[in-house]
Amino acid sequence: MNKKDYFEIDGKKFNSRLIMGTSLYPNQSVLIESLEKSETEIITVSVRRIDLKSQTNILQVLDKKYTILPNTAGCFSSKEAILTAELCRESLNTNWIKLEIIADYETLLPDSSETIKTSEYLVKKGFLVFAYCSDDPVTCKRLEDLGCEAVMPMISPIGSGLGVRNEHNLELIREFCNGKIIVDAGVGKPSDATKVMELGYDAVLLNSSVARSIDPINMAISMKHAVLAGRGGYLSGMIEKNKYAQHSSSMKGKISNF
Amino acid sequence: MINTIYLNGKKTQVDLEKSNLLIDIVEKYSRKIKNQNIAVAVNMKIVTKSEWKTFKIEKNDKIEIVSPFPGG
Repeated sequence: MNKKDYFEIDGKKFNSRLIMGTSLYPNQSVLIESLEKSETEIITVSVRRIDLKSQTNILQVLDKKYTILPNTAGCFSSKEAILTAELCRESLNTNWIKLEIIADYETLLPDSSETIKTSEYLVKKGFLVFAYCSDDPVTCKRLEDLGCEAVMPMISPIGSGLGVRNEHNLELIREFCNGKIIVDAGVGKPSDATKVMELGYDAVLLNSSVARSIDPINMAISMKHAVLAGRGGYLSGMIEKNKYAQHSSSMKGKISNF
Repeated sequence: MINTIYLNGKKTQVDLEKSNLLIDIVEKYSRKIKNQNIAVAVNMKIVTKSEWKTFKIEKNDKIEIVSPFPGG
């Protein structure tokens, strides 16, 4: 594979195309080692009310080498998401924002109309918007056209681990969108990450599939390899599918039938 | 005079006559925090760090003080 296959965002070059969440790990040391072993360079965080008693924050325990992608997780409306984005920018001194506006608590499915409206506003306000959205090609294209840095379709609901549910839509999204596409939610197995990377997606963001596994550190390593394998396949030009078999060993010189 | 404000959703009594500046509230309730990753909103509007020294708090204001947390 081309060694200079960087993942570029905002003028920065990243070697890894695996973006890791920081939540739900059994403890901090497992989190730290999982991130390290995954070789991720971009990690996601949220902002929440400070705990007036413990008053610690996640950045105090994480290596400074990571680029932070803050999110608006848990927001149900444009107003809430905009304020959260502003708080993220103030707190973390970054204009990067993973915009996440959910429609209901049961499914955590993205609210497309609120996401489109809010993305437009935030882009105008100078944010670099990474928009979490449904696997609807039209929505993804709209988000790209209004200036999002990346569209981030789910492949199945957040934390479900259901993996790719609509491969056809994912193919269309790649066809419709010229810019960056990052899968955001629904990865369960390493093969899910490989699959979307084989489709030509630019990166994979995951959290639960590693953090909630039996062995998060080992799963982080597996996800790293899965993303690399998928990317390698995509760049290498995979063969076309054929309805019938095509032998690989030459028939020429084969001993006679008997 | 003791006044009521809402700090991170919790009803809190403060003496606004003694000081009604946001920076005093932030420092009082987040003084143990050793980093600068705090952000503040008052009544659902962001108040940037540069404004803390002059921003005046009024009774019944809703103050949110946030910092980074694990997230996906």
